Amino acid sequence: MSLQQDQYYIDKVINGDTNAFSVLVDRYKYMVYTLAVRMVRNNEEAEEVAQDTFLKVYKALPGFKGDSKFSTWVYKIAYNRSLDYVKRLGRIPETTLIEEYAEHNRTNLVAAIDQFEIDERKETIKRAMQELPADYATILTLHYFEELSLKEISKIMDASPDTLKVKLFRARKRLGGILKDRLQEKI
Amino acid sequence: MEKDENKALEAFYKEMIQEAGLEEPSTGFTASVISKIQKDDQKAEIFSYRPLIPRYVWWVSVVLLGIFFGYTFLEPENLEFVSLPKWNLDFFNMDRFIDVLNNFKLPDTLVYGSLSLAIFISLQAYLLKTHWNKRFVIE
Repeated sequence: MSLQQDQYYIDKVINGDTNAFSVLVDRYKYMVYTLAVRMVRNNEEAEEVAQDTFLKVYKALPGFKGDSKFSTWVYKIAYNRSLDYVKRLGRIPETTLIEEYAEHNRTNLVAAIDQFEIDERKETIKRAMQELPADYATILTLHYFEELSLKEISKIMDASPDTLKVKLFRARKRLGGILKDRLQEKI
Repeated sequence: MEKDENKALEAFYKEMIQEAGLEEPSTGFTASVISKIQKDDQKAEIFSYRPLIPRYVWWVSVVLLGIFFGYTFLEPENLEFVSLPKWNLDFFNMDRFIDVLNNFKLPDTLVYGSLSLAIFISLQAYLLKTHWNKRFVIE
């Protein structure tokens, strides 16, 4: 969604039209909620964190200067809110792990994933994403689903693009490994 | 060759993750956010800051005080008719208390220490506030 399209509603909200905010919520709620689920790993808590994110966005909206995309700004708030929530509960966000998996051969992975029916496949991928450490799942979602560059993701997650590149590579390996394990379980 | 394989892997993961899609929040998600915002706005209105003494009262007080002091200092002879009661206030002998205050000295180390502590606390408060505010700013 371009900033111009968002800006119209942002201006309306700043001028006191609360209902215009619902358009922005509808646009970004899926990604914000997904990021929260990946971080918090509990649907009810993720819903709470996602709502809290939008409340924060609403309050901080007059301070949004448009230096970055609105979506990037919203995701950064969502990421920080989720991280705060996880830390407040005393859960340690699982981050980088020592890798045991090697990068999987693509042909094997395609063959493996094709064994599943479409719905089952979707569910398996989602569940595999849930098993990943929070920052891996976040990077994969932002990079492959939202198609954000590593530079943009670095603004959201406060990490250098080089660090993220390494993490993305590891996240991919880890996801591939989990999917292969799932298939072996199925067989 | 390796580059091509990497590209193909990228495309594979992208396709797979896009196919899986995003998680869906509850159906009443947007309505719930908007209602929370409206509730917050109402609360803000109820608890909005209203000074205990309105501004006009301050202005009236300043004008009245101005008139009073102006009258007293510029035309003191007009106050001669005011007879103030004469009280003996000798029992309020403050000399000893003032002597104690005069002799009261804090060690220099304590004074400099407290001053440095105050400066560092102020600095820390400023730095922490700037740090936390940065969480909502994208450079």
